[in-house]
Amino acid sequence: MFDAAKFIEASLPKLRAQAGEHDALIALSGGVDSSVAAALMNKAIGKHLKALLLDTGFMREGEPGQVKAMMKAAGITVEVRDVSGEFFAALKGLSDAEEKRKAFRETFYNIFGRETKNFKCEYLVQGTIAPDWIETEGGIKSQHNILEQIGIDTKTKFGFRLIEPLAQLYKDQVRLLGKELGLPDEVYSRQPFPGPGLMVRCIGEVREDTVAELRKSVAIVEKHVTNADAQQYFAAIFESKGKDAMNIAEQASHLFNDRCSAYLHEAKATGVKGDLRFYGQLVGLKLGKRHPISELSKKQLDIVIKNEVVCRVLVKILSQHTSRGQKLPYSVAIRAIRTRDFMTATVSEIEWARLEAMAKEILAACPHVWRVYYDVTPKPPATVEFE
Amino acid sequence: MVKIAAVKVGGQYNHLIARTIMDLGEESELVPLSITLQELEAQGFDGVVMGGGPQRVADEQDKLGNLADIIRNAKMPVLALCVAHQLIAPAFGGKAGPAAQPEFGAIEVFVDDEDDLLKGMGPSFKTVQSHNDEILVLPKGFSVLAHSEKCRYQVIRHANRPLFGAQFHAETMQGEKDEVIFQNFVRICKESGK
Repeated sequence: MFDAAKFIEASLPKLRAQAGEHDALIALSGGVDSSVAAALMNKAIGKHLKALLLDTGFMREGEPGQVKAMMKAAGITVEVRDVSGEFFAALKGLSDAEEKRKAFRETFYNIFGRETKNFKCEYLVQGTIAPDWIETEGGIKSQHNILEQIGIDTKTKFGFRLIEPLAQLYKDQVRLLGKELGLPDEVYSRQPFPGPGLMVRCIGEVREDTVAELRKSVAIVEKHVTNADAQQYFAAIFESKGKDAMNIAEQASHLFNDRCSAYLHEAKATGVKGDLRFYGQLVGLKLGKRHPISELSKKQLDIVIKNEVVCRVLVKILSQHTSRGQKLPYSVAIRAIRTRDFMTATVSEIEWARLEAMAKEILAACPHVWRVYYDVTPKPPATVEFE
Repeated sequence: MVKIAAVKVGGQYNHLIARTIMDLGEESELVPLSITLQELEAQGFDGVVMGGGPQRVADEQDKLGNLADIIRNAKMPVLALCVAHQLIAPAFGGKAGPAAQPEFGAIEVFVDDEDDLLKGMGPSFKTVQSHNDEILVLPKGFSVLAHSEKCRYQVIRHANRPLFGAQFHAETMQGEKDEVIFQNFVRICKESGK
C-alpha cells in the first residue's frame, strides 16, 4: 500500500532543494491534483509559494469563486484571473481534439510565462500525475500539462522552470496524500475535473452558446449523481449532424434481441485500443426496451469491433419532441464511470429512472438539444473524457 | 523482499506494473525498453515483467528492444504481458498477428490449468483486455493455462522454465482476482532465487 506519510517525508527535502531560495507559482485549478500539489509545496517552501487560478472560460458554474474559498479554508490564498477571452480567441475555428488541446496548452503556458514574471517566480508548480504523461507519451491524447516529458524546454519557451511533485502518483494515491496533509475532505475527495475543463466536453468547435448549454447539463448531472455512484460524472455536448446506420441497427437489434435504430453522429471522440490512440465517431442507439446498463456496456464491444469508424456507443435516454421529427442542432451524452486510477474504467450502473430524470431536466434547460444519451463504453476502448 | 523489473515497452499500464509490485511490499523499478538480459542480471533483478505496448507484433518486432532475447534466454522468472506475450510465439517458432476478434475492457478469462501462476484464480476471473493482436500458433514446448471466449491463448507457460505469458492487463487492478497473479509471480520469483 501507498504510504502517504513516507512520501511527504521523502518529498519535502527534495522540493526545498529544487526550489532553492526562489519563489514558485502554483497553477491551481481547484482540482484534486493541483490542490494537493499546492498543499505539499506550501509545506515545503511556505511563503515562497504563490497561487494563481486562471478562469479559462471552461470552468463550471461558480467554480472560480468556490475554489478560492475552498483553498482559503485550507490556508492557501489564491488570485483569480479571467482570461477567457484569450482562450476563446485561440480556439476559434478549431474542431480537431488534438489541435484544440495543443492550442489550449500554448495559450495556458504563454499566460503563465507572463504571470510567473508578474509574481517574480522562477518556478511554476503543477499537479501533473502519472496518467497525464503516460497518455501523452503514448500518443493517446496530449494532456495540456505535459511539457518537459515531450521535449519542451519551458525555460526557453515560456520563461519558467517546472516542479511537478506528484508526477509518479495516481489519483487514489494523491487523495491519500491530500488527507495526510490535512486538507479538508471536500478538497481531496472532489471528483476530478480536467485542466482544459469544459473544452474537452464540448466536442468539435467550441462556441459560447454550446459551452453555456453544456455548463447547465454538467450542473444537472452533478446534482443527480454522487461520489457513491461514480468516480467521475459529467455531460458532453456535440452536433446532432449525422446519418442513420442501417447495418449497425441490424447488428444491435440482433445483439440485444430488441428493435433498434442506430444514428451515426459525425462528431468524433478519443479512445484507446491496444495502447494506440483511436479517434472515431459516436453512434447513438435507440432501443425498444430499457436494458440493464451492465448488458449494454458488455455488448457494445461487438459494435465497436465490427464497425471501424465507431469509437463509442451511446444509448438514447430521451429526446426533444419537435414538429415533423426535426432534429435540433446539438445532442448531449451523460457519462459516469467507476475507476481506481483512471487508466481503465467501467460504466456506472445508474438506474434508468435517474437517467430519465437527468435527461428531462437537460432537455428543459437546453432548448437546442435534440437527444440525451448515456455513454455505455468502458475505458478501453473509450477514454473517460470525450476529447 | 524481491526486486522485479517492469520494462517500459510503451503501453498505457507499464507504470502500473511497478506500482502493483510495490503495493505488494516488494521492490520494483521501471526499466527502459533498450535494457538487455545482461543488464537485468547485473542490476540484481529477481524477475522481470514486460509490459504491453503499441507495437504490432506481426511487423514491428524491431521496435521491441531486446524482449525476444530475454524471452529466449532468461533464467530468472519472466512474465510477458500483451505484446510481449504475443512475442513469445515467434520467438519460439510459433506465430502471432492480428486477432480475428480483438478484445477491449473487462472480459471473463477461463482457467484451464492453475499451475503456478494462476493458483487461486480458477475457475474464471474478469480482467481488462486491450489487444488488436494475439498468438495465432502456439510454439512447441508451451502449454495453455487460460483462454477467453474470443481468444484461445490468454495465459501460456514454458514447459520447464518460469516463463509465462498473459494477454490481459491484471496490473490495472480492476478485477477482483487481479492482484493474485502478481502475488503468485512474486512467490515464483522468491522460490526461484532460493
